[in-house]
Amino acid sequence: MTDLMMNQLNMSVSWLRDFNDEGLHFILMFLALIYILISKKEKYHRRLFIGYSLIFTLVYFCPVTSWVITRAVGELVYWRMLWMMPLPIIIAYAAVKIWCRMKKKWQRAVSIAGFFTVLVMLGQFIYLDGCPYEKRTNWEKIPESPVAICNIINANRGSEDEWVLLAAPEDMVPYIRVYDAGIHQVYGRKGDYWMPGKGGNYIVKALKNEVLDYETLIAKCRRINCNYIVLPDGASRVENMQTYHFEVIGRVGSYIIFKDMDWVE
Amino acid sequence: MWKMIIGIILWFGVVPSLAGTLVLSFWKRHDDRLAECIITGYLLMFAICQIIAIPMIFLEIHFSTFCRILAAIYMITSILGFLKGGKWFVGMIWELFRNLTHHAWTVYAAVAAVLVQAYYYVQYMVTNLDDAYYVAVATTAIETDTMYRFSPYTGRAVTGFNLRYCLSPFSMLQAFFSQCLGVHPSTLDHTIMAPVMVIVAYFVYISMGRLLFSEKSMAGEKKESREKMIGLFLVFLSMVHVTSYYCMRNQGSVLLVRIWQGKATLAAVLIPFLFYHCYRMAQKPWEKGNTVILVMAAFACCLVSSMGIVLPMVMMGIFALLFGVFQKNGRYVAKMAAGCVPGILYGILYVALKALKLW
Repeated sequence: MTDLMMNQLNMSVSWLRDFNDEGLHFILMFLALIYILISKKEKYHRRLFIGYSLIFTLVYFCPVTSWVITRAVGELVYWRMLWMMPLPIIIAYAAVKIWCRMKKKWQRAVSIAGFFTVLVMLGQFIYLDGCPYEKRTNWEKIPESPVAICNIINANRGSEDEWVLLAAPEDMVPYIRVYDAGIHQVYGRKGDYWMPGKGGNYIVKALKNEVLDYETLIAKCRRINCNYIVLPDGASRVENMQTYHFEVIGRVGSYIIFKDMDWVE
Repeated sequence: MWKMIIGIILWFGVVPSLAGTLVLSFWKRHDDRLAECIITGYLLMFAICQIIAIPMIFLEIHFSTFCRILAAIYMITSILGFLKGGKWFVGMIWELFRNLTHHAWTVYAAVAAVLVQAYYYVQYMVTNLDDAYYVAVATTAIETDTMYRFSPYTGRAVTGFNLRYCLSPFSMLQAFFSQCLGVHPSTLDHTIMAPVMVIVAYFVYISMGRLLFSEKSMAGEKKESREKMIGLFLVFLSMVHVTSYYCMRNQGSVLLVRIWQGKATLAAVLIPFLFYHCYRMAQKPWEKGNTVILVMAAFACCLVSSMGIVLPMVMMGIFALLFGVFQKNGRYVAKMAAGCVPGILYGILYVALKALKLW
């Protein structure tokens, strides 16, 4: 029983650490809560901010409640409980109230700049530091290579309804069906295979390897009706694939797209 | 292009506004403004989608039929909204334009801050591997005219239903919108819905600001323009959000990096809304229609993510303790309990379907 409780508590603490990572915004939230607690003028919303934060903290850390919640949502996503802690609202509210207490215009201007500087120092500014935004190449916001692969395949389909089962490298897999769900894949993200027992696993492993056993690969592909393969460029790759009537229909970066010319619907 | 822009204004502006007008004018809540109206409209749209989508998924109804029914319901809702509160709604819009140049400077700063966040979604690209499911499930639905009958990863026909995802079919709503606008689901999610959801998130915060800086709460304090404080509140919130990129999981990051995904919408829009609305229900117990809006919000949470079935119940439980049990207010506890009903229903449905192994 004690072990279980300690495990739950450790899990809660560990997720909290992960959630904050290297950020220190929680310090600001803590200071904001102290301000709301001690300032006489903050009586009106004190119950909301202090009361809610206290009960939430208890619920989050309490082994019993965390056990119940993890049974419902799963341990791996318990950190999502922390979405219910209104950190941005608490910080912004306290900042506005402190700003209002300043009388002079220059003090107010400096306080806004100072507040932003502190936030940047304790956090990470999204538009500069490790910016996640990339220049878009299409309105779908899908990386160029998978889009090009899909377009090449579609241009080489005998008809719009022609069957397409594609074996693509791991880095392309997540985007192919986002762009075109008419293209089937031998394997997808999170180990989802077309036909795991009949060659799907083998093809995935083969695509990851540098040296390919072409004969087995082609046999396995044909067995599950896989008629398109994308392979990284390599020594004699084209010649080896052509031996089994897989012809090059296009190239995207360092990848070559092959089509099975013997494929009959 | 113009056709698409008109479609965006219609489906993400006019329809939610009129749907919200229907709900708010039904209870004559004319103190509410455009922000509350739009949010309520989105909640109603989400709730309707959740209520009709679940049975249709399990009955294996075609996706195109689902789209037609949903479109008809949304249109009827909008027309009813216009008939019921059109005058009030037009008055709000007129007032908005009339006062366009008469606001405090903080309001313009806030608008600029929010638009920058939305602009990044339009002009730039953020990739997320979870799209391999959430977006692909929408493209698959359109391609196959089915709902959750094929694996979005491979396109393979599936025998059962993945209950965790099927009970929160936000992607079907996105697929529906992409059909209505005639755009690719990925374009809809990344370029259209993402900036729209950022703006909707800040509408929630405007409402929160109005509540936190209400005249009653400011009594006895130095006279400072409420509008200025609400504007500043949004500016400071924007600052917190744009500096939250130290972790991909927090509210700021999900708002700015993956808002089109249901779980991010839950974290950045619906959970803040619930926080605001539960507090509003405690502050203004005399207001009519709040329980219905709470239930709508709970349905909306269930639509966007399976976490939305559980988390709102936890939050409502905390509020029930804080403003109900501790203040000996049984009515408030009952209202919070009513808000938990959708979550409990879908929770029971999940357990029952799992246990019975019907699918």
